[in-house]
Amino acid sequence: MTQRYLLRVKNLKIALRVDKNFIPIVGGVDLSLESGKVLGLVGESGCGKSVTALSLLRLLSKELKIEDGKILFYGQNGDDAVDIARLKPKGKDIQKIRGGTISMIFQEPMSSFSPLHTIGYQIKEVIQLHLNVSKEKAREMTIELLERVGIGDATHAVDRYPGAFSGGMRQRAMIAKALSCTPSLLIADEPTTALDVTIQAQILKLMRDMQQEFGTSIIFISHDLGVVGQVADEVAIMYMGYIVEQGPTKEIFKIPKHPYTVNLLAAIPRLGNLQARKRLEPIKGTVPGLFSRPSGCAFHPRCNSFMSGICDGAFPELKEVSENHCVACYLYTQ
Amino acid sequence: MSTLIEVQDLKMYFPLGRANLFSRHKVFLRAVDGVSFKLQKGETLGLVGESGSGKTTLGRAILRLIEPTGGRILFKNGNGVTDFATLNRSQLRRQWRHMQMIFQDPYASLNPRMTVKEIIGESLVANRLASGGQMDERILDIARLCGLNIRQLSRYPHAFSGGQRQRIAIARALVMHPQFIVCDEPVSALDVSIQAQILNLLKDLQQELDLTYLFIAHDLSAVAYACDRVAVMYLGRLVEMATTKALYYTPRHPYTEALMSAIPPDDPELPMQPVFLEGEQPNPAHPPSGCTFHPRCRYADTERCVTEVPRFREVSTGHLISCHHAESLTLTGALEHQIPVEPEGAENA
Repeated sequence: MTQRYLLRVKNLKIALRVDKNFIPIVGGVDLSLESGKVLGLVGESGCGKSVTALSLLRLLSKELKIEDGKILFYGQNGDDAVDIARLKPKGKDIQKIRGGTISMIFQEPMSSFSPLHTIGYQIKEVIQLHLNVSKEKAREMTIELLERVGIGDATHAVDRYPGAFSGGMRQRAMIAKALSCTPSLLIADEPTTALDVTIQAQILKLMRDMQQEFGTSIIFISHDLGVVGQVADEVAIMYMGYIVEQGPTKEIFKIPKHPYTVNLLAAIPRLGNLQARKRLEPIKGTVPGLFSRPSGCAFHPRCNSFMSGICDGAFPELKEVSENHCVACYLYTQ
Repeated sequence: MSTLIEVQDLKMYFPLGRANLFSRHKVFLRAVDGVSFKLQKGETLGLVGESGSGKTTLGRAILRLIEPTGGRILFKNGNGVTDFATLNRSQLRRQWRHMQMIFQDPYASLNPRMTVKEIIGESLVANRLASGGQMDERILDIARLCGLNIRQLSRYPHAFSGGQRQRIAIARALVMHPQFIVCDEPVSALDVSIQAQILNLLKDLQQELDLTYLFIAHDLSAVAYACDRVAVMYLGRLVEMATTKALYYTPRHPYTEALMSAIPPDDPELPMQPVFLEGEQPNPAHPPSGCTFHPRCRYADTERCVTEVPRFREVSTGHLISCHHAESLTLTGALEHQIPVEPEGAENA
């Protein structure tokens, strides 16, 4: 049991400031990630998955505030956990972690590089900031990294500007940059959403390879269940700021418990449905706005098994239904 | 089934200027380069391909929202055949009521200063098709059919969610009872739980109103669900066209094979074995010679691939391919044993 966890998030609450009020965006997220594993974080737009991810590196904008909760990061050598939620967002401690032991890949490969500096400069910058190496060594390492992620002619590519790179190449360069200091945790926020399927497949394979080679743990955020199924060991499903279900990928796909997960899997066009000529079953209604969050379980107005007086009362707790498989739904907490 | 639209050798070139300052030679970007296909009445033809392959340009050129450089667009309407490419502006305006378009981004495609009712009714007014009470009735009919709340028609688009807005866009396209609709990525801007609603709505409307769709999308699973036949585009040309099942499970063009192998399987236990394409997508302004796919193709071995442009021809019934090796290659399609797992939690939910 020693050092099972790399990261544990406990009751994380994030609120958005609107005028003088704070509106809860993330209402109490519990997450745990074991060392060397890939956790998929799935949800629709606006469910709080990106905000949760940004808060892990304290990258939230001014309007967003961590109201409560702990983000315990255990690091590699197994010494005392750091509570990231307590660090100053601009302090030295978090800057050491950012890009060093935890790094992040963003959705838009087009806007995540500065167009005014060469790719090589931007990767070298990270290396020099965190590792005590000379300029020449940093450049060597950069070229090596670019070769690793499959960018041809890396000795020349290193001096090119991001404008000369295609979307797929930029995302690969981004991965090279993120992995440059061999972080123990990589947060990937929709890393393949802006890419074509063939390139998506390449990026997914690259991430899997890198994970195996460096032993990096990954938090993989996506709205695409198919993609998450391919990379993640464990999946957490988010809906309106809460994790409604978390468990091993296989179980989530084969025996989903929470009605939202069940409905989501039935609503996605998948090739199996093509063979069976099955009609998609859409989830009724839409995701409510932030200002009109339903009481109790936020999913209850759209849920087919809504129980009046129970579901619209208090918010259901995340309970373990089988090993490592947790669900927040009153159907399972009798 | 009868043919509704026949596109012959459609070309859309965008001028890029001269090769160099002193050259007389002008450079063109061949966004659509000699595309031909037929659309049967009442079917949905999917159009897939990488970004930059010319899918959207093709859709727009068919409707002449941009002026095609060459080719014919034959539209069979009742008794006669009209070549859409030769019509002048006023004739075109009259024909457009039969052909409409649904755009990708419902946040950008609706005028924020018009109420929903005005948006849906605008084309009726512009074409003097209806007025007064008759117009109201038509708007209400179509709004109801598209699943809009008819009490909210006097609101402005900002009051609606993405899915609702796409319904408004669909109602606007359908109000003139068109026969043909180009759907350009109609669900890619929507949330996953909403996509199914719109896909089903498009299917229901097709049955009810006998519509023909050209369905442009990059999400291969959504295309598989929505389309009867699918065409694959690469660098401005069609490389393969077949029924959905044939294209997905028995592709015959190497590019289609790569696409299909990259679809994440339904079952997370099935390992994905994608065929990786070498290199990057070539610059469409300077496409490779011969078969434009040859630099990335793992089967390209002959001189022919480099020098000769393959003809887009019917290799078996209804299966068209442009590859010199189409007859001899055996390719793998999408993983076939993807039977949906019946969720055990379903009866509880």
